[in-house]
Amino acid sequence: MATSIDDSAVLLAWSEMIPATEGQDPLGLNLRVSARLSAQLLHCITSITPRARYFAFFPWCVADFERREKKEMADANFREAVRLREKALTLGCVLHHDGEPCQGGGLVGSEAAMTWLAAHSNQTPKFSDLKFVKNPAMDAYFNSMVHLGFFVPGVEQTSEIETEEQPEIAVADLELTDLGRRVATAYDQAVGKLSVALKLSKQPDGCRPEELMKWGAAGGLCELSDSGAPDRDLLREVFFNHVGSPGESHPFRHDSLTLLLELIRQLEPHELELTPFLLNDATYLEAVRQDAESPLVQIIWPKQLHDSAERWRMFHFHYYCAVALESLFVGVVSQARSSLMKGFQLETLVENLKGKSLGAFLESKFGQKIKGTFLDSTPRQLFAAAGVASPDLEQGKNGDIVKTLDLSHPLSETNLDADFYSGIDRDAPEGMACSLLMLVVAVTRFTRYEKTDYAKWLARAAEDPYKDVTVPIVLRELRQQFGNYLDATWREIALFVIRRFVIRQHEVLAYGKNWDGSRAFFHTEQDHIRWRQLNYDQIGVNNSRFSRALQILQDLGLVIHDEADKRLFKLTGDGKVQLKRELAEMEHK
Amino acid sequence: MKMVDFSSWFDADEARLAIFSSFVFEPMYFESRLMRSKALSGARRIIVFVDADQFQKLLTERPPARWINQRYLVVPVKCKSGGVFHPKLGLLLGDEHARLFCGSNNLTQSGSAHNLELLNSVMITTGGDEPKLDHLHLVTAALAVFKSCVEFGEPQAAKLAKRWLDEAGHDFTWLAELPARDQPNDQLELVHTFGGSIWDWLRERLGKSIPRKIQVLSPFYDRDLRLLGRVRETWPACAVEITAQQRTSNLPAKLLGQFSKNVRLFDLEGAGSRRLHAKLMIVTTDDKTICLSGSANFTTAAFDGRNVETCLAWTAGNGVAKELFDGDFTRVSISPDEFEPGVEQPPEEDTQPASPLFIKSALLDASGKLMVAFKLKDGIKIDKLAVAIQRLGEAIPAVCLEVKGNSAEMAEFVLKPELVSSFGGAVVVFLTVESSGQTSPPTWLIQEHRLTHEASEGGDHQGRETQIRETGRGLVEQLVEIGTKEGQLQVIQYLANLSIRFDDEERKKHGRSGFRPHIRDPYRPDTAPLWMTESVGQVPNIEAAILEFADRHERKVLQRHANRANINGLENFLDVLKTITKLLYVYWRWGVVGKHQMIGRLTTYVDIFTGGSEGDRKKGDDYDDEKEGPFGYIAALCEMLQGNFSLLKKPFEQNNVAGHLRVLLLIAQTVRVNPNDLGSSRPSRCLQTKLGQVRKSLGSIKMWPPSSDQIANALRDYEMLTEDEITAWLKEV
Repeated sequence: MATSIDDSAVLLAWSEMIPATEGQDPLGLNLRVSARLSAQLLHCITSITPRARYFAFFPWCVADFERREKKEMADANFREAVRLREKALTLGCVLHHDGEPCQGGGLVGSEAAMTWLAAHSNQTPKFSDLKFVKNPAMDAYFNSMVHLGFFVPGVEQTSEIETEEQPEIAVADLELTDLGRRVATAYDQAVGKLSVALKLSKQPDGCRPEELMKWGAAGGLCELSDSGAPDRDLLREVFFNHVGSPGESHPFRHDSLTLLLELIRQLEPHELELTPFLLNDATYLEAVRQDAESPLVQIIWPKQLHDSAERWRMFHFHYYCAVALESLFVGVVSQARSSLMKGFQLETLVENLKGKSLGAFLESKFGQKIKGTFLDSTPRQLFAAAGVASPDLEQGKNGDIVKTLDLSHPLSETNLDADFYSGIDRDAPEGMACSLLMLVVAVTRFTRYEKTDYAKWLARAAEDPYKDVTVPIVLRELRQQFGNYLDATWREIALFVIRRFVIRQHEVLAYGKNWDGSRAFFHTEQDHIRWRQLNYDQIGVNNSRFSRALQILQDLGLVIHDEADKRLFKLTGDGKVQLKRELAEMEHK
Repeated sequence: MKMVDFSSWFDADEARLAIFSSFVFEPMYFESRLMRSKALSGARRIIVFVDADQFQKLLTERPPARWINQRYLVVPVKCKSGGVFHPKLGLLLGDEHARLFCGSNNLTQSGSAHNLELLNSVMITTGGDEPKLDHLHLVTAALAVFKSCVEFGEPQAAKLAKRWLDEAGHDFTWLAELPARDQPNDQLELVHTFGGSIWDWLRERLGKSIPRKIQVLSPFYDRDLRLLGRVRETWPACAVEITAQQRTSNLPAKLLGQFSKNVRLFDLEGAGSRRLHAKLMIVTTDDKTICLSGSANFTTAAFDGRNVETCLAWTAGNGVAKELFDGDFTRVSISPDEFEPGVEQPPEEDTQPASPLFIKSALLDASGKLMVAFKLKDGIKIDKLAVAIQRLGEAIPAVCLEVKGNSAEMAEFVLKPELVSSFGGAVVVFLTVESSGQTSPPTWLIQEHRLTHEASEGGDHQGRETQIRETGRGLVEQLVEIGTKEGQLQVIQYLANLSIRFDDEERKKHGRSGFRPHIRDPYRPDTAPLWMTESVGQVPNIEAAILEFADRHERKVLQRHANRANINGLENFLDVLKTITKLLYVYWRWGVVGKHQMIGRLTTYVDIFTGGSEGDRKKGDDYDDEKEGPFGYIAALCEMLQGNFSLLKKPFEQNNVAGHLRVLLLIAQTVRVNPNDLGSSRPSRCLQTKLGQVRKSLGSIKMWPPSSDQIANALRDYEMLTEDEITAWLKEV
């Protein structure tokens, strides 16, 4: 109750608890840094734009709407017109594939279309009543198409102006550029003469299944890879940046796609599956292998791809920094949860980094028993045990670490990362030690590159050193705290890193979106960290654009799955020609 | 059971002066949540009194803080009596209202959003039809408490706080003007330990009445339950009910056995992960029930006045305790043997080992004088002591100042103005010993001249920002304000991110005033970010930022208008021209922009305006709509209208084109003056070729010469000269 002496006093009111809200990316490592890097490296290929054909289909929708509806019907609704065409294409593709979605990922709404078809086979759909999805797929693709230069941008907008506003695609006067019209015309050559294209604007509920099926056959997503697809060549030119798209980031996408083609070429003889981890190793350590028992395959990047490979190396530096810190975060949350009301002090958590399981883990990493305790040893001592004689923190002097901690070494970041997938819990002492090792190895390796322009480019992704964390910031603060951190004990490093980059970082970020701090997984008061009823065991940093880029390359008919082993990719004939052409042009430039 | 979101009390009314006291203080919570509230975001002055030992502890943890001692003042308070500074009192004073808080919560995230705290608040309104002044005496009493805090505060910060509190009497005249009301005995009362102990107050308030029952709610108790023992001794027949939370409270429950069965223990149920931090004492006699709620735990340190505590006390009806536990959580009787205590100890036992060297306070006044009060442990060997200054976001201190002689434990320096102006947000200072590399815990510099936030500084910020982005008007003033409040780094970032819009009404012409997709290019160059490059003693390069801004707008707006030759863009052209010319001129006068950077740019603007003398057309980059034709806005317009000058006459006159063109040249001439060279010793003698070019350009449209009024009006439009200066300038025409 609250006692009120009068209405101007509130007495004995209990403080209301601000409920904890589910928070992803608790340290801001993904959205605040990683996403900025990948947005440039694979500009316009986002995690929600995996299919290349949509990039021709939507400009066609705009052109078709202008041609058939906008001029004739004053009340024509652009958004509804796009939605209608999307529904028709979705159903057409499912019909074309005998009730299944397109290969490589169906159109948005395919599941609902399949359900409808199962219940209404051979019926003419009444599109005006049908609804497959809440939001049209165009919402997802729109920004990418704008950036590619398909639509006329705002007159006063230039590349240096950024806005937080998300456009609403709800108006009729969206205007195609010349490039947008070219793409639309190319798609129109595939479907423009089909009866369904004519019917949709005037008689949408009269499209018969066999008519829709023809649309799916000619204008579906996976059909783009057919050599006869009239829009395929132009879309290749678009994605490989040969059409003059506005802005400065398109060359980076070009280079990344070329790098992927080159990697697929180099992997093909070795029958290695191209995964995000393999891309990681190929750029970070310039070597790959299938598993711990497989032989190493050196990746040698042509000099034309050196720039892109170095940027991807920087991307992966941040990746390991993020995995290490988020894993430590899992440990902190887990400790807070198990400590319940009493809470815990950081020192207690750090002093837990001992015991038999940790000893066994370290022995497996170093091939020998480590003298003394982990917490009392220093990175320099452990590097020495790992065979790195001189891990100096100056560029040019630390070649040892790059040479020694290669892909085959148990202490390399990729193998430490793999430990988390082979039974080590991130919140166990060995898991937390693994995270600390990964962070220090990555940061120390980074010192070899820190004076390069690529390192500056990585640092640029941290716009606000108060809120953003990436490798140059961790390195800077380790030096500030310890001078040469290689001679600090792991206890000191653990206390500093967890306090600064996990606990405090999370508390800062908890206020980022919600002023009330409700995104916090824990809170601290007088040294005690207490749990706030949220669990975290998802490591959120990933390279979601990678698989989308691979799908785009498949859609464009440049890459195909190996027939004998569907896990593997290989270049098509066109893919080989495209790679050769791109490298030649890069060489020429 | 009523629940209140503590922070919601900050979202109702704007305060001008805000004063708080707290045992523990969390800058991140305060800045991220409360400073953004309606009450504090525009407050003129904000003071936070905190326990000195807890503040020292905070300093060693180096928490992130952006505005501490720059936007709000923190005063560490040390209790002389061996206790702690523990009050949780807050006062928001507005023009016609006041809100007072007195509860159990610290200014921390957990105190405000997670713990179970008991909150009390009263509101005073002085204006309107029905002023509510019943609790005015509490406001006066709270101000008196804060004035008492000052006496125990760290001297430099406390001196500043004292001045502000003294000025509150003048700033809030209604405090003095309103009639003092008699305070009824059962009315709300602010109880504090500056005036004596809470125990004595309680005895006095009870008078001859003898308590029948005392109900206690508290997280902390004496290790030996001494206060409980005293209660039992004083009122042996009085029943005592203690409500504590297992695993968080330090209650030594096993000692309860020494008392009679008249002492009952209750545990809290249903609180989930919420820690009970509330403090309450309900004393029931035969004829009344007294509530005492605030910061005081049930310890002798709190009740005997060793700690500084504040509570509200009032006479309540029956059933107060029952009503507190009639909701989501309840209290249940528990045997002392079953009670599992927590490990946390009372605040007075949470002591911090003293650092061998530490800064008590560092204050920077408006004149640039830095005064650092420090303390060195006896016997510590120091050969060369220095004060390091580290700006927000820097990894390494920007400046180290050697302390000459350290016996007085007070050092004074005078900082360079450019260094002071580069402070953006909070600034950290600490002591360093050169030989040993030993450093003191850092503390935050008190930036006295930035702590008072005048209303105009934040007034209609959105409107002013829009005006700058639309027209450029007010840019220089905005930069000055940002520089003063946030430092030159922020000025540079502001300029780098600002683009005044280009507008020639093409969109309206084509009916495209609706939706336009916007481009956001994620491109980042391979150059080091600002946070990496601005370090060690570097003063931010504001000149480069200004030149970059001017050159960018020359290319993207002025040149583009000249290329497009659209009369509808005239107003926008002049807006941007005036903005960058004024920016360059003002910063040239302040010695920031070099003269050698000025002449070329200003004469280029004359060329772009008129058509130049060479006819050398420049290409506006990034645009594909250039056309062949004359270079320069006026020349291009003339060609576009094919000599039909009558169409130009009206818009040119309305926008005072002749006056502005002449003033542009006049500014260039003024900058060009060289007193040592007879040929250019006065503005009127400089840049004669350009003058001829202007004469020819305006002559071609029959607007030469502009009148004195036109020139004077154009000069006034710049809003950078006094009337006397304008008169002097006109003599040079």
